[in-house]
Amino acid sequence: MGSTIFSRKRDLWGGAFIALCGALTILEATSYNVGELARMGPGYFPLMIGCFLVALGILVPLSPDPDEVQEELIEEQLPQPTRRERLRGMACIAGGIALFIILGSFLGFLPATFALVFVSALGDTSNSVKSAAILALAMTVFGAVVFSWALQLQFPMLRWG
Amino acid sequence: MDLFDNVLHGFSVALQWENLLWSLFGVFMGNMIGVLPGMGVLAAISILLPLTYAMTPVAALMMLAGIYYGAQYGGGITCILLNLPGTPSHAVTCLDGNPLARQGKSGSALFMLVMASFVGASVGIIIMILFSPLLVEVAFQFGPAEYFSMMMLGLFAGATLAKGSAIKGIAMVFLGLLLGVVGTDVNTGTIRYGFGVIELSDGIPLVALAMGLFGLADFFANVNRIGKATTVGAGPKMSVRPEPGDIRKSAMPIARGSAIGAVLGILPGTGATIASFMSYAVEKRVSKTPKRFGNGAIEGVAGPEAANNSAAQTSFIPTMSLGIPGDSVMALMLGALIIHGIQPGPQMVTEHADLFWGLIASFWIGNIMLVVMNLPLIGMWARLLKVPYKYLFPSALFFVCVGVYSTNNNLFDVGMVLVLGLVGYLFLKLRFSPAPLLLGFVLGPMVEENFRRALLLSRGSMNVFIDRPISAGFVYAILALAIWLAYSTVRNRKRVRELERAQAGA
Repeated sequence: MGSTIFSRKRDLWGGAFIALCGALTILEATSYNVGELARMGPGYFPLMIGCFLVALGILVPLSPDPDEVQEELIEEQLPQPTRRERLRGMACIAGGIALFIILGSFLGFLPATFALVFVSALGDTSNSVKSAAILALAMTVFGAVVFSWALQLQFPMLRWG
Repeated sequence: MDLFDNVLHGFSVALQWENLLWSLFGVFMGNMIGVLPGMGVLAAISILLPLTYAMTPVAALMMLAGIYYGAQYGGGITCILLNLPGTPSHAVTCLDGNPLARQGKSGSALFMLVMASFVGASVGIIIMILFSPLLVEVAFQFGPAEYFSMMMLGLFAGATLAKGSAIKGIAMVFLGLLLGVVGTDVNTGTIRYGFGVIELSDGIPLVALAMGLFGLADFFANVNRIGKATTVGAGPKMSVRPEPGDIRKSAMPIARGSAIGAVLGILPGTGATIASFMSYAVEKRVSKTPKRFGNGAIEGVAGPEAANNSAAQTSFIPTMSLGIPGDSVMALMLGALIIHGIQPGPQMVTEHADLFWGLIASFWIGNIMLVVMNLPLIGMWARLLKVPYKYLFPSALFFVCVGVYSTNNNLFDVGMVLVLGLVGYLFLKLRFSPAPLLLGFVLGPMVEENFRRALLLSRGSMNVFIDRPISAGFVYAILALAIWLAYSTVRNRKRVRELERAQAGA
């Protein structure tokens, strides 16, 4: 219900996003030397792109796509994760990667890998703590053998600080 | 004969042990990834791209290409057995492939799938062998103006003809061009859009962008969704054997499909997906019994499968001989070549003859391997379908992180993937297709360079783009696309209004 109206609203947001990108591009481009057509400076090309983006951003909400609307009607029939499930999945995946970066720079490859796989696996509601831990352990062993040992990845397995 | 020598030389390169093994690895991975639900070719190629840094360029390209056309085989299998398109270019195969399987004719459907794929790919390869040298000769007459116009045509066609809203596609192309600008300007040394971050002065790494937009964004969208929507039941009986009469019935559809695929593969912006849909439409139209389509017509499997495999091969032609990728997979291939220090284009065909002809030969060998592999392995692929997504995505995430890290050995790039993945998810939610963005990103620096050079040579006169006949042709083609776009926008607005009215009435 209300798909077309929803997609209208979404295209408005999408268009605004594109136009905003364009405006920021123009703003930044003018801080470089723009030059002229025969002798373009570093700012000329991005300035052009920025102008096109602003124009396209305005056009996006004005040109709705019927296929998109229909696709949405079909998708509404399919089972969708609840808002809570989706947020949990995204938070765990993003958190896993953040942990990979933090643990990777302070403790090394093994703890980083374990944390990444463990935390991101918990994002799927059908994984238990136990199954996530087993998967994480398996990937850590696999990573150690394949990447550190066989492929000689430049990433210390364990380190302090 | 010169051509014959070249092909023979190609085979001698492709049959070297190292190349053969990587090619085999590529097609095997591709086949598997095509079968696995929720794993795209683009994600697979970008995840495995860092693995190729230590290889020779020839082996690297053979492997990456193998993933691409291997996935074309694998994607069809899931369509027939489970009614799940592994890749978008196979969506149409589901229409008749799955009804066939439900009637207990999965063996015949799978056999025709493999046969049609092989014939289609072979036709594509032959076209590639014959056509590429011709195109190279034309390409040597290209100046910066021609290159610029042609790339713009490729970008516009790629954005407007692909699935979804054309205006959004074009907006994504321009965003891609913009992201390509980030980094040090080659002409002046100015760091653009770096915002004081040192790591950005080399630009955004292609691998981070591709993995963020196609890998991570998909995980965000699919977590807790796949596995809910698809419950895999006990698979139907798996065997590969043709039913009597099916081969005869499929011969013409395969021939037509191969031809359609070959043409659409070469044209910029149209690829395997459009080719398979078009082939299906043609088969339905020429059939004496169009009612059978959708209820298990073997022609509806054979034609489109031949078409998308043929297109998958010929889409390498503009990428290799002109340096202009027609779609996002080819853009990634182009990026891989550049990472290996090879500038694709007409020079490549002559200067890196062993790479060019070796790759063509490896396509053929790879396709034979796929046929041999798929006949006994169908059962194994079917079991692979049951790997749950809850184990698949955390493992894939690990490969994403390690792969990106190994590109430059720094964790900053991993953070970049996270940011780009979130942006990619936003695009998915707003219904912007990320594929044109990648195309714009890869072509961006070349577009700018040729634009600047063309106008430098013409002393700032924009006429240079329409004074030169080849360039003018491209410009007029872009104009034609723009007019068609304006017309279809008006028509679409009308259709959306009707939909809205129908909904309000309901």
